[in-house]
Amino acid sequence: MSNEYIGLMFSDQEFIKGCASGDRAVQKALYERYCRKMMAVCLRYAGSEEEAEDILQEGFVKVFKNIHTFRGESRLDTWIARIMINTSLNHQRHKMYLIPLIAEEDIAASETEEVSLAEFHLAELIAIVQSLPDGCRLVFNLFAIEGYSHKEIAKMAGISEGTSKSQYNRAKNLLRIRINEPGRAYKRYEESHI
Amino acid sequence: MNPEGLTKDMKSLIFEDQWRNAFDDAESTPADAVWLAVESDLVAAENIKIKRTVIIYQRIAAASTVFALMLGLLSYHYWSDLSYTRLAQGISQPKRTDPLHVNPSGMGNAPSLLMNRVKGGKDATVSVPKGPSGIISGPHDEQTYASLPIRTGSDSLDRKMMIRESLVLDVIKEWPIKIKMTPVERISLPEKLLPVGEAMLSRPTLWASIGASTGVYSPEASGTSASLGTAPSSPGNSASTSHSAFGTSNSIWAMIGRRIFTRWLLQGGITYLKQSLGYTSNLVATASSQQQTFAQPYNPTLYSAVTTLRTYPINSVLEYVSIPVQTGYMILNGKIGLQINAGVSADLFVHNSLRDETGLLSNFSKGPGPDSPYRSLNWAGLASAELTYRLSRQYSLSIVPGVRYCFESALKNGADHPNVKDVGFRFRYNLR
Repeated sequence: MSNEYIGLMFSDQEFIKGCASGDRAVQKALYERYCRKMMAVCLRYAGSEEEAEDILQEGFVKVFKNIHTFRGESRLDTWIARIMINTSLNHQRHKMYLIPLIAEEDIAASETEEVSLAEFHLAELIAIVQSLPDGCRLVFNLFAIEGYSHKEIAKMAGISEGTSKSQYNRAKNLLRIRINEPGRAYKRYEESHI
Repeated sequence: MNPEGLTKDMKSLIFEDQWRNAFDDAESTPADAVWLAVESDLVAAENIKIKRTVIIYQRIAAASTVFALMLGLLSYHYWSDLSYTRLAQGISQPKRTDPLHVNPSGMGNAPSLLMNRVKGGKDATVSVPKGPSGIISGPHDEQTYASLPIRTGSDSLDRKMMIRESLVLDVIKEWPIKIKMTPVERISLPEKLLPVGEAMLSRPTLWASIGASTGVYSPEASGTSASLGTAPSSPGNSASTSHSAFGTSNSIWAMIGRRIFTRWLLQGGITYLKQSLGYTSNLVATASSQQQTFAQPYNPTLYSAVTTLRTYPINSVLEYVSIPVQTGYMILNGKIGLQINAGVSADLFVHNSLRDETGLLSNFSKGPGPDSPYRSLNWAGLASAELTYRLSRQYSLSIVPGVRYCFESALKNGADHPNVKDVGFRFRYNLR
């Protein structure tokens, strides 16, 4: 039986009980079930695949150490994803000082051209997101993908709300530019497992 | 979708929705090395936890050892003080409230327990010569301690001592059981997932065990007969004692063990040891303050007057509390395990009791102390094999044949080396 199907044999409650008791087989089954989804999350926040794997590793260790605190108030995968995001934030926290202080009004939004992302492969999209500067990438992920408000992002990342907005606007502009540059192929994951 | 007619906010929403949808249910396979790294981190974290737990248990073990030693020392001092107290009482003002005991003067008083027994028993013809103070006459009348009263079952002081001894022994026996051992998480990595070599490491690393053993106790290589000289009070009657070649030995123990290397382990704990041996003797001792005679297999010059009697059987029981420390090597460590152990044991002498099998003589009991013929502390070498069957992850049962060799005689003036060959059962609970 393939490893990815082993995880389907357990319910969330069985995962929680088994992992909390330190059963390594159940821990591995949980990992097998969610590692691909979480790897995609980590790839969005990380600057490289290696960094994403570091975040994934650290995140899962935190999951196994703290799974006894999971109260079932959300889905298990949502809880794990939140841990991955927090781990990514911790990874990037030391880079926060690198975020340039750009005023919101300084960002000239170029919203004239809209493109569909449907024509892009997931690997390309991840490569485009990873090409963003650290601060922009973090705010873009938190605001556009996770749905946090700028106020919440400011609190989480330890930056001002204005900086969060300006970073997001900058991220949007950079993404539009890069999406509209078909010549700049982001083939990093063309031969990857995605 | 035609973005021309949309407002800025709507365009923004479309932008975010596009990205959110693009990454919705996105998956990417990480490298296999990530799980190995996660597993490695978990093992490292668990090892830290194990180390902390082991440190706690080590501290408990150290504290327990110190406690046991202190208890032994306190008991030693207590019994020593008691002996001196009794000595002082015997010399100055022997107090006897028991109507069964005679007046210290010994003149025209009620007969002693012994004499009652003698008169009422089959051996009524036995005559014990007495001195003017009621003491059986002999060369030991001149001994300083001739007037020392020897314990009887009715003596209030002795009863008090016996109760205290009982309490102390109860504490010693129950002490290891009272340690509340916090259950700790086990490493439950399936062995088939482990690389070769780590499977051994997944075996229990810390355990507690209780057990009992029984076997053969030999005070020497063979039974001996010793002539202790002639008692002048009964000319021509040579005082002698001899014991059988083998007695019995029973012990119960509680231990904590820990694997210190892949195959090496260390274990220690506390053992209650009882050794019983049959004697024949024609020696009797008597108290000066009461006309009681006691079974004596050895020359009790420090205690009382002795005389000879016709040969009678004695059962001698030695009791020890010992603290063994052993190191072991695991030859097999699977469902069935085999290990060999070797170590030393500090045996704290508790007391010896002598019982006349015929019932004519009073029982005699002696604890440690400067006036005791027994060593307070003996050292013994231990060697054993242990054949273990793992009942489950946490429980295992072992059969333990072993040998105990005492480096010194139990008697202070003895030259023999008692040894025990026994077989025990050990029930083990694996803590980690």
